[in-house]
Amino acid sequence: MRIATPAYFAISTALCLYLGLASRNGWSLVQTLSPRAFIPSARTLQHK
Amino acid sequence: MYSQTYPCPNCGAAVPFASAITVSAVCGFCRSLVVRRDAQVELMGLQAQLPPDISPLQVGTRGEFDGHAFTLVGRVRVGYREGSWNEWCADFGGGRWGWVAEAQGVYEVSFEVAPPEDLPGMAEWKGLEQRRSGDLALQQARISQGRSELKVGRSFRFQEADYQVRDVKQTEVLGAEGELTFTPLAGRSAISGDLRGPGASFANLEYSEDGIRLFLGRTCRFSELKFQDLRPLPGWTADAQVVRGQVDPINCPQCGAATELKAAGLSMTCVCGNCGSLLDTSHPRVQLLDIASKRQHQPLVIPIGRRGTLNEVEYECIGYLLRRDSYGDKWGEYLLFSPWAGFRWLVTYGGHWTLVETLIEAPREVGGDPVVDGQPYTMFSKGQAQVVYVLGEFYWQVRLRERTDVTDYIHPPGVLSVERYPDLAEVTWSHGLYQDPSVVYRAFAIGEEPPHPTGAYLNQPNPHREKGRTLRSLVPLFAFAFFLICLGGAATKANERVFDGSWGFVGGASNAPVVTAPFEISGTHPQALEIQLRSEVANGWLGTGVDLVNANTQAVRELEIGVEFYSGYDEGAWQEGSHRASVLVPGVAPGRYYLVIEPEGQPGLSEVTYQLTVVRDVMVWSNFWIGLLPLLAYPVFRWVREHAFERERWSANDFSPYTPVSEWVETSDDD
Repeated sequence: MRIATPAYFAISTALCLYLGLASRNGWSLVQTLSPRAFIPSARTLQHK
Repeated sequence: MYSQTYPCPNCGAAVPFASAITVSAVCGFCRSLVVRRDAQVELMGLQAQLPPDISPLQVGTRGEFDGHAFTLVGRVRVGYREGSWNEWCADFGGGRWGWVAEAQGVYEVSFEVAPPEDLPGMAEWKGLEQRRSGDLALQQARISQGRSELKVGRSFRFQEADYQVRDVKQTEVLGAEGELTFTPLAGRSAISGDLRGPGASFANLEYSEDGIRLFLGRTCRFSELKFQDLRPLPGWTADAQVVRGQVDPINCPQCGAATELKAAGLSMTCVCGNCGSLLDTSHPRVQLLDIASKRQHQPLVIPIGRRGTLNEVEYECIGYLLRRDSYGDKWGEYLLFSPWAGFRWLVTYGGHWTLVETLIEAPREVGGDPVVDGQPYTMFSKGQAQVVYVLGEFYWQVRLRERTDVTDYIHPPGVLSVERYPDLAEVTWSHGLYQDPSVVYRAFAIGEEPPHPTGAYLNQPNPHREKGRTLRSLVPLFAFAFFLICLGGAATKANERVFDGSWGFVGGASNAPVVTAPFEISGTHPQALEIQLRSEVANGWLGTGVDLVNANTQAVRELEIGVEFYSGYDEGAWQEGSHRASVLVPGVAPGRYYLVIEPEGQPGLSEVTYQLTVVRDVMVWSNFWIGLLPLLAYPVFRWVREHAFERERWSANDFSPYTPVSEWVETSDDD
């Protein structure tokens, strides 16, 4: 059974869904596939 | 139902007249030709035994033409120099009758109509019509007239349609059976002209001692005529008994070997299986056409006599031709025969197979290209083909070294071929469909795996196009969804400036970090921020380490933004770099934020101002461009493969729509 076209279908569907979510949540495919977790503390700034 | 029986004047056996329209009948017992005149019948001599044939029709067969039912009441076997055929007399009821001719596996249904008064020769015929039938001089005069009037290529107009003479031959009645609407005296001669009209229509003009007769009709396939009560065929139908002409083997005049015809009555040429001599089998007396100089041995994939079922029709392989074009390429053509479906060809080259059937009408043309089933065909090749080897039997008088002009048009898996014989006006169109080699091998029980086909054949379906068939509908769908999401998203972005500040920077001095006043990132969901830096640096750089700090959670995002700009003069003014830069911060949750900015710059940089701006809810365009890559990569890959296959198909072809690669090189060299 050929899987190329089903795979293309799956990947494209996932891509469109991801882009829909990314567009809503301001995600960037380049920088990360999910919102980067904030460093939990600003204490690292204390030395500045 | 009409039925009348007369005693045969010769033997006394009952001669039935089942049709009111017929005037003569052949006694089934002694083969006397009986003609009825008023209430009496008259003996008109004996009819010869009809040559054996494998026609599925018989007296009593019923059929339908254009919604009108008919019954075959009799037949006459008509011969000409190169063969013979059956003309069946069809009673349509109500005094209407017509003719059903069997010709090369197709059927020509025609009706006699009054010839137009302005038909060439009509005036002369008027002067001769008073002379009695059977007058030999009259017959000769009529034949002479027919020869002079019927010239190949001449056009006539009948019933608002144009017809062109394609073939003219002198015909002769060889024999008859059943009832007929005329008296089929054996040896009755006529000049017969076959004319082709629009579509599948045809006309037949006959010049004989009976005058000038015109028949108009249409060529049909077996299935169109909805025949019933067909003749059981020995060797083809289980319950068949030989009741009409035992098919005796023919003997080769060269070597005496016996060969049994597989399409008796239709075969015009046969190759002696023993010595390879080409025999004329169009008449019971077999004649030698060509003496085989040497027996060639060509390996046949489908042996002569092998039967197989293709497209639910059982065929027997009865002949094989090897042909060669002017480039020396050779291909094989297997002639298949079915008593009901007629003839087909299996053409093979390089492991590719195509099932071909002769068209009963020339395809219409749109913009110069022939069209079949609404599909335009593109010219692929044009040249001459020569017969270099024959085996088996054929429905025309095939000749070794015979040349034909062949033009091929393609619309894979279809191929359309037109063949013209240089000496004849006849043009033959045929249509073929590519066959999976394994289907052909299975159909004819060839006990081995077919070899892998070589190259890209002219009508081979593009396998990459087949693979991409589903893709062709998916790609526009996903492209639409993709653009809708991206452009819809871009249109709904706020692009709101939420912070703007500017500070001074002195190169070489200590520049303390700047902590900005808090600003609000509004909204209901995470969003992308764009932080823009602007500074009019000259021949230097300025960088800023920016921390985006959530005022509530103290969570921080560390960023780097820098600008550099250089300019000068070196054989002209130059500049590089920019006074602006920006960085995207994805997925920032709504809330209060402030910036901690730590600037640094090129030592020695004079005092300069830098400005930082924060814009919330911006479009991440990189998503659009990067998303396009996986979306289009596979379709582009498929397209490249498909295109490469088409290039291979058309390579070394004079009619190729593709520019040869060599011309690319020449073009680039010219440039």
